[in-house]
Parts: sequence; structure tokens; C-alpha cells
Amino acid sequence: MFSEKEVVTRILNGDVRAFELLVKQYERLVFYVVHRLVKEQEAAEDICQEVFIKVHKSLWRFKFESKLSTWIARIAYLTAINQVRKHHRERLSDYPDDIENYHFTTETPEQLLTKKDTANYVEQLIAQLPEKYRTILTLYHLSEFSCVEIGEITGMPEGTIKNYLFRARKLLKDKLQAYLKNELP
Amino acid sequence: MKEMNDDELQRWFESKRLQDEPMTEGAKAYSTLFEALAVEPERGLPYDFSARVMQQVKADVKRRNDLRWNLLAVAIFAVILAGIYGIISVVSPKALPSLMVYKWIFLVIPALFIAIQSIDQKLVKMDIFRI
Repeated sequence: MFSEKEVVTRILNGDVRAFELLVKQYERLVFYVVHRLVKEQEAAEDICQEVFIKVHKSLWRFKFESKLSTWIARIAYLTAINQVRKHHRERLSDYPDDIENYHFTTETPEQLLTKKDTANYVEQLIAQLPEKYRTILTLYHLSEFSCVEIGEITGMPEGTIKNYLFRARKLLKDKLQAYLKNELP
Repeated sequence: MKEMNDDELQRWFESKRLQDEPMTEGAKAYSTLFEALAVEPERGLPYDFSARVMQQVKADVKRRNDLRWNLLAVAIFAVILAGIYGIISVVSPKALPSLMVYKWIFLVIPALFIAIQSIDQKLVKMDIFRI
């Protein structure tokens, strides 16, 4: 059983093995967050590594005011966002007004025909959403954080998160509905 | 199943309630979407990821410890030097001016020591000799 307090205390006392436990416990969470923002596998791995180095260096600042997973996810989110801004020069839009009319570029009929796997199709649609929508969807559905915790991670108000979540899911559902209509017998 | 709007449907599937009744098209799409959103990415981190992180963390810890020891060594050197000068100034004050001629050597030695250590650490960190 993984105990946050025990592991953190051991790490702060210089126990390197305890930190390895922490890495194994949270590597998937960190990868989910980073992977949604950084598409290249190698770059995503490097950022994950950087995240854990930061966690190790600043663990003494963690005062158990939130869950350890929330704190680590915030470091992962901020590190990934910074990297995206620095290297990929992706436009990080705050709140696209026309999200309902968002244009997905992979929706050519040929590509639709090849996408038999619905999960892969949804994955491709998500990859084209603005980064904040991608992050919120991942944190909520994959990492199972609450809207309050996502607020702590991303620094966005809870109401905005709920709004983003609703709009992203509605948009994806509309696309999926059309896809299912065309693809399934 | 009664007709529900998007907001109600999302709430419905968020509560993870199972649906026995035949679903509307929208509900089916939401059901599929919620399942797809919970699917983990196909590719993950390599199996030796934690080992790689640990290697880097250990190297970082070693660098920090080395720096700490180097600073401590310099501090001890400075204290000993000051002590020696102090003792000489008490025991044989006349010898002090002749020793003061060499003060720059004693000051330059620890400064050089710190500089070499710091450059060495930077080179190791940059890993410039990696093939």
C-alpha cells in the first residue's frame, strides 16, 4: 500500500529507494498529462524525466495541503506547457469562441474509413483540440481528478473547467455520432 | 429512454449509471465517448523509465553533495589559515609582515580550487565527451 506521508518523509530523509517508489506510482499520471500536450514520444519522455527531477528537488515544499498526485500533476502540467511554449510555439488559445464549430483536419472520408477503432478515432479528435480542453479531458476521464483538483492543477476556475469539459465532450459526441452513423451497420 | 439534452446526458454518464433501456443516438454516442475517454494511451513510458530517473537523481544528489564538501573544505582551509595567522600574530608578531607577502597565494589556492570544481561539474553536467 502506497502511503504518501511515509514515502515523502523517507525521501526527505534521503531514502533514494522511496523516491523510486514515488516515480513508479506516478509515472503513468505524469505521462498522461504530458502526452496530451507533447505529441512526440521522445520529447514527452524527456519532459516526464524533467518533471520527476523537479519533484525530487522541490519535495520539501510539499506541505500536504493537497493530494500528492495533484501536486505532481501540476508540476507536470506547468513543465509541459512551458516546453510547448518554448519549443513548439503552439498557439495556446485561452477560450476559442467558436469551439462548437471547431474544425478537425483528419475528417476526410478516406481517413474515416480506415478508423475502425473508435477509441483511436476519439484520440485523434482530442489531439486536435486546444491544449486546455485536451488537458481537462485527460485529467478528468483518465486520471480521474475532480473539477476542484483540476482547478488546483491548471489554475483555472472550477466553473471554467466544467464549461470546457461540457463543450469538449459535446463537440466530440457530435463528431462521434456522425462517425458512428457512417461507420456502424 | 426519455429524450435528454446534452447536459443531462453528460451528467447521466458521469454518474456511471447503467442503461438497460434502449438508448437514443445521442446517448449511444455519449456512452461510446465516455468509454473511449477512459482508454489509456497505446504507448507509454519505457519499462526502465524509473531506473533512468533514479540515475539522474543520484547524479544530481552526488553533484550537490560534492559541492557541499568542496565548500566545507574551503571553509576549513580558511579557518586553519586564519588560525595560523592568529597564532603567529600572538606568538611572533614580528614574523607576521613577512608572512603577509604570501597572503595572495593562500587566497588564490581556495579560489582556484572552487573554480576547478565548478568547471568540472559543469562539464560533467553538459556531458560534452559523450560519444
